[in-house]
Amino acid sequence: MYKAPQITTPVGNADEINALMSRYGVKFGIYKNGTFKEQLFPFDAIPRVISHKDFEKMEKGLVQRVDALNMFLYDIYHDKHIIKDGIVPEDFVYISKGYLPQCEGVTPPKNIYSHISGIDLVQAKDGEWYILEDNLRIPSGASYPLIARELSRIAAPNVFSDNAVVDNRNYAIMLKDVMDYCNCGGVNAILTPGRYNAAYFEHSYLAERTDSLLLQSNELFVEDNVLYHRDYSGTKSRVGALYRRISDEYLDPMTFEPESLIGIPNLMDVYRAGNVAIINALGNGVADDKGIYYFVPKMIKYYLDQDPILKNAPTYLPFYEEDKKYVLDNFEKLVIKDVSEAGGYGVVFGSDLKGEELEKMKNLVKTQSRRFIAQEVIDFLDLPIIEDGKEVMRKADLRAFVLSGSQTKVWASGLTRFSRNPDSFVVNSSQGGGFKDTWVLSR
Amino acid sequence: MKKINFTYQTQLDIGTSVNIHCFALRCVPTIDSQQRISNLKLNFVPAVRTWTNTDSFGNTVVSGRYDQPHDKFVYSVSGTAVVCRNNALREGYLPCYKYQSQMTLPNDEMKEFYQQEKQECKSVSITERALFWSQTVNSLMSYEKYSTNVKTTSAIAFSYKKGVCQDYSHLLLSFLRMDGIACRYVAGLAFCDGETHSWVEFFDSKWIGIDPTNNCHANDDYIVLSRGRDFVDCSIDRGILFGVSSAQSQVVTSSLEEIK
Repeated sequence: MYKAPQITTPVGNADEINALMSRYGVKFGIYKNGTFKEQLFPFDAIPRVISHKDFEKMEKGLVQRVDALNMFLYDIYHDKHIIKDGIVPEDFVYISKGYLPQCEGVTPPKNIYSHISGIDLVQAKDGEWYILEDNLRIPSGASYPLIARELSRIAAPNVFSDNAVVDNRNYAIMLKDVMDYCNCGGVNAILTPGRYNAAYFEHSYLAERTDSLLLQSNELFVEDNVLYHRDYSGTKSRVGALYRRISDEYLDPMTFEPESLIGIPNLMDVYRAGNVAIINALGNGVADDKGIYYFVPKMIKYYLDQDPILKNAPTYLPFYEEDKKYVLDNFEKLVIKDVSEAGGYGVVFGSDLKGEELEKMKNLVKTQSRRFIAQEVIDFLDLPIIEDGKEVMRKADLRAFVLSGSQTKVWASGLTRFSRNPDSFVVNSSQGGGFKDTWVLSR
Repeated sequence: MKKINFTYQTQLDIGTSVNIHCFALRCVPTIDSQQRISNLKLNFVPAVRTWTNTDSFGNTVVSGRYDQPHDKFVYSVSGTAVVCRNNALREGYLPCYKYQSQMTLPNDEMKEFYQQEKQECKSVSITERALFWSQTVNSLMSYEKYSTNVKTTSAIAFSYKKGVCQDYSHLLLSFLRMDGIACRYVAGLAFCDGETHSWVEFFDSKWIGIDPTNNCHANDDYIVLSRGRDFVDCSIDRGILFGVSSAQSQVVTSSLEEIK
């Protein structure tokens, strides 16, 4: 039986840390029924601990995975060898909502598509780590463990050195390195849709820490294939790297959604001309599509000629007849995911469905098989949290942050999210979950 | 082969003044193995700084930004095109042309119609099948100006059974793609009704142009401005205006003249 290294006592006082985070505005916003609500992302003070040995393996596996995903993206938007060689069926690529033909033939600076990858993992009860999902568009959440660690450090300064915890304060330096490496001449900027965005706290926090400008689209404009920022005095300065926190479809109304008012008209011209690094690149959605996930181990083999170090959760594609049969026969032990949804939406556990609902879902899988994937439910390792003064066990995952610049590096920390509902496996912050600090041990 | 002088002009009246105007125009004819362009003139009133790129579909895109108050905006393009559709055109194939796009996505009624109609076509040749579908669309639809608009999808046009060249083209693209034939939307100028025209190219080891509105081959009378998956990729004029005005009206004129 695997025994996870564990700290069972809270580090600092969770209530105080939560109160401080609330005062600093460490919140996230959600839209529910058309209204915007800001809420706290509850912090639990018992850290998740990852042993040095576990992290070493995880690190190698994540670097390998993200390198292969970046190669896949380059290939898809250029020569398409992986399709021609029959490794990934063409349909999966071109039907994917994340595939953008407007990016065909466009090469991002230094060939990097996914600069910041948020890879979601879970640890099973036997200690094995499984990849649940790749997030290569705008993975958010790095700022929460950063600020929580900062506060915990004030509350209990000795705990971190006594336990040989790797310092995670380097995230901003890693991010700045990536921006500097890809910068095409000019300043670094973070593009935010504004304070009503779910992750606005993070945008402002990261801008401050990376010494980047925090900008909204009306402060930016394009002229002669160059992106400029105009400041309050009217002075214009060139932007060479844009860490955008606006999704692809709203980024340039001249190329994508024509009615977008939060985008920068003609930004695509600048990108096409190689005059700005857009972080992350456009069109990455084709590689983090839940349907493409199934093929990532094959990509690793194909591009790197290596065996995958980290495993995918056992996944079935009803697109293949054989898998469809298995999925329909074993519906109640599988989790069914709609490939076009994110944030924990569109996830259904077969065992939760009864009668008419079950038949309806089975029928959807039968008739729209490309839309779904099915996975075995992994028995996650539970982590202790404090609820109403008592320790209880809850499901948790880990979002690891992998940054690709001159090298691909894994941040020795991450966002551990847990479900507050004892019966739920869904840990997304938008579904009401909480988070913990993630410790990586240095020995 | 034909030599054609062409002009195209759009005049935009914006009512009250706008302060910022950004645009991306696909109004400059493409240069490829079937089409050569000379004496190209591009004119803007008021004069505005522009820059040019080629998009991922191979189209010339003229972009610009005007940040002075204005209530009128006129641009025109003119030149001479030498068109020779007998030359084989193989450039610009993209696999996405095999798949339905936003504007061509069929609904259940269209799928049912497709299943019925395809029984009528015994041929396995791509070109013959494409001609069959062009004929089918042409018989199904009746041409009626102003019956649809730029946002009309092929599914909506199918339910109306009437429309303009854009709707004919979208419907043909839907059926060709259901039939597994790679095809693309073409926007351009032609010697026929309307200031601009649209038709379809399908791929049968080379691109072949077909006009479902007139149920004929797109010959040397057709000048290509842009190509893409559907109308959205090809819009001649895409712009965004920032200001207090909401009303705008647009007058488009074009003329073609063959040089003997």
